[in-house]
Formats: sequence, structure tokens, C-alpha cells
Amino acid sequence: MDVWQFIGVGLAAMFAATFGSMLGLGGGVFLVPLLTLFFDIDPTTAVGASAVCVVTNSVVGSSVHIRSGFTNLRLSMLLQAPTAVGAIIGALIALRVDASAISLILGLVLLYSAASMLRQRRVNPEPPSEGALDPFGLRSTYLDPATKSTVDYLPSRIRPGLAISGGAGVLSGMLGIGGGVIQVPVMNLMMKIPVKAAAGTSSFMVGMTAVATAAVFYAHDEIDPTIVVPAMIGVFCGAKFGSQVTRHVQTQRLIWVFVIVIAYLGVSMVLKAFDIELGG
Amino acid sequence: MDVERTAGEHDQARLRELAARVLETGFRVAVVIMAAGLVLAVIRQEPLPSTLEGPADIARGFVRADPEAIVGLGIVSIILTPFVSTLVIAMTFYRQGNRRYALISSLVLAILLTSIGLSLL
Repeated sequence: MDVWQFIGVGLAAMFAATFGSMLGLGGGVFLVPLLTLFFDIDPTTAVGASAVCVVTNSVVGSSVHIRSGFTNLRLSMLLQAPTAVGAIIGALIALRVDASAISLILGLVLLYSAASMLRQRRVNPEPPSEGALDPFGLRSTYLDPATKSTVDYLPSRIRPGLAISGGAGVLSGMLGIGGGVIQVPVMNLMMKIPVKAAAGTSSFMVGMTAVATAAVFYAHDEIDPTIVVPAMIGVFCGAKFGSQVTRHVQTQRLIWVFVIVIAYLGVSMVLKAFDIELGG
Repeated sequence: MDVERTAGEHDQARLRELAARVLETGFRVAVVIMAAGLVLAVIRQEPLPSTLEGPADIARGFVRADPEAIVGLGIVSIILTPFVSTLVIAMTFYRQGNRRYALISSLVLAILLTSIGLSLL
């Protein structure tokens, strides 16, 4: 790898980490296409590098989100159990399955998520009543610096959320992404969690999910330090910046960025499944 | 009711502080190790390897101040950080008497440990 490619991979990772951290994603959903389309890196190597970068992004960004109170640690632990199991299964599938099938599945899931967010986005769902039942002890509050108001929320529909988290874990493992691109819309739309809390909780979860994925790729010698090192340097710079931006940006804008980004990626992945490249 | 809620909020604030501190420490440790490895690689003009060494080779190489192994240790350190933060969260839930979430966090920890263990076999 020459110096320019080193710098280029670092910048691509910085971009992925900035947006990933802002949106509660690991950034892998941006990084894998960037590495394969613009740097001619083998998809399996890109997925392995992406998994390490997702962990890095989560570690750096989550420390900010947790201190801001955006991360619901109890909820993250509850949803993480099925997600991590799914990630191990997904990573094992990824080493054996046809790549175009994976691209098609992810593309359709992304487009569905974008459409759902656009149709019925919930900036901040209605606050729960004082006596509302909270059998899982998940009620939480945070101070939103953008509106200078306290947001009180109570996650609902926990059991379907657990089932979908398992599916998100499988896709994470297959694609080297953190799974936030699925988790954030599910938390927001189905579980009635405000977008910032969904992004903060997801940001922490994607790191744990990607640990499982990275471990499987490590075992199969698919972690390439010549790609991972410049990418990690880029992530170090981008993740902190992205999580700071999240604190101050209006939630409505965050949702629009999310919808545009995942719609673009959804179309790219569906086209890629049929060997048509976008922007490459 | 208010007293219970205040105690619960205090526990949550403590948990958040500990989790954030573990993540920051893990990040800093990984950066220092990786930077040291990169500087050594540049000084000795040794290229980075195209595959990450196994844990035993990294340990042996680290003792010999091998840049390849030091960079590898930096990468492994960052991969292990969420695992350590989950461990700290599980222990904090347990100390705070929250058995349900101590158990759930321990389950998450066991799953992560299984995936890491499988990779080392």
C-alpha cells in the first residue's frame, strides 16, 4: 500500500465514522462500499476491516453518547443478547454464502427502513404517563442540548424488538456492519424510543456486535493491518466529531440525513446484487 | 417514590460514568500501543503485515519489541474494549443489586466470550 492509498483509506474511514457516529451506526455500511468501490479492496477483506472500524467507532463515539445520557445501557444489554448470537451466525454464513444474495437482502432492508422512517418518523414519541407500566425497568430521560428540554421515554414492544435484534445481528455478521441501520428505525418506530436515544443506544450496541464479527474474521486471517491501521486512524478522528455534532443538531435534520443515506445505500446494494455499480 | 427514583437515577449516572471511562481508557491504550508500533515500523523500515498475527505470536513479538506485533496488540486492544466495558457494566449492575440486568449483561458477556473463544481455537 502506498502513502496516497494509506491517506485515502484513512479519509474514507473518517467520513464513515463521522456519519456513522451521528446516526448511531457503526459506519461499516458506508465503509465496505467505499473500500470495495474506490480502493479495489477484496470484499471479504473490506468486511473484516470494517468490523474492526465499527468497534473503534463505537468505542470512541459511545463514550460521548453515554455521558450525554442518550445511551440506555439497560436496553442495550437486553437487545444485545439476541444480536450477538445473530452476529456469530451471520459471520459464519458470510464466509460461505454468495455475495450478491447478501447485497440484495441488505439493499431491500435498507430501502424498507428508509421508507418507514419517512412515512412515520417519530422525533420524540409522546412521553409516558407517571404510572405507566415498566416491567423491564427501561424508562429513561436525557437532556436534549439542541432544544434544551428533558426528554422522558418508555420503550415499548420489547419482545418483537428482541426478535428483530437477532435478525439485525445476522445481517451485521454477514456484512461487517454494526446493525444500527436496522436497529435505529426499529427502536424509533416500533419501540417508541426518541431518535437521539435510539442512536446513542445503537452506537454502543454496534461495538459489541462487531466484536463478535471481528473475532470470527480474525480467526480466518481476514483482518489486514495494512487496511485496518489507516482506517482506524480515520475513525479516531471522525467518531468524536460525529458524536459531538449529534448533541447539537436538530433531530428532524438527523432523520432526514438518515433517510437519504440509507436510501442511497439501499439502491446501491440492490444494483450491486445485479452487478450494476453506483458511483464506482 | 421520589426517593426511589433519585436513588435509581444516581445508580444510572454512576453506571454511565464507569462505562464511559472504560471506553475512553480502552481507546487511549489502543492509540498509544498502535502509535508506538507504527513509529517503530517507520524507524526500522518494516512494512505492515497483510494478516493480523495470532494472540500467541503477538505476545511473543511484543516481548521482542516487534513493530508488527505491537500494532497487532493495538488492534486487539480496541476489539477487546467493548468486552471489558460489558464486564464492568455487569459488575456494576450486580453491585447495585440489579440482579436481572446483572444476569442479562453476564449472558451478553458469555456470548461475546464464546465468539472470542471460537476465534482462538
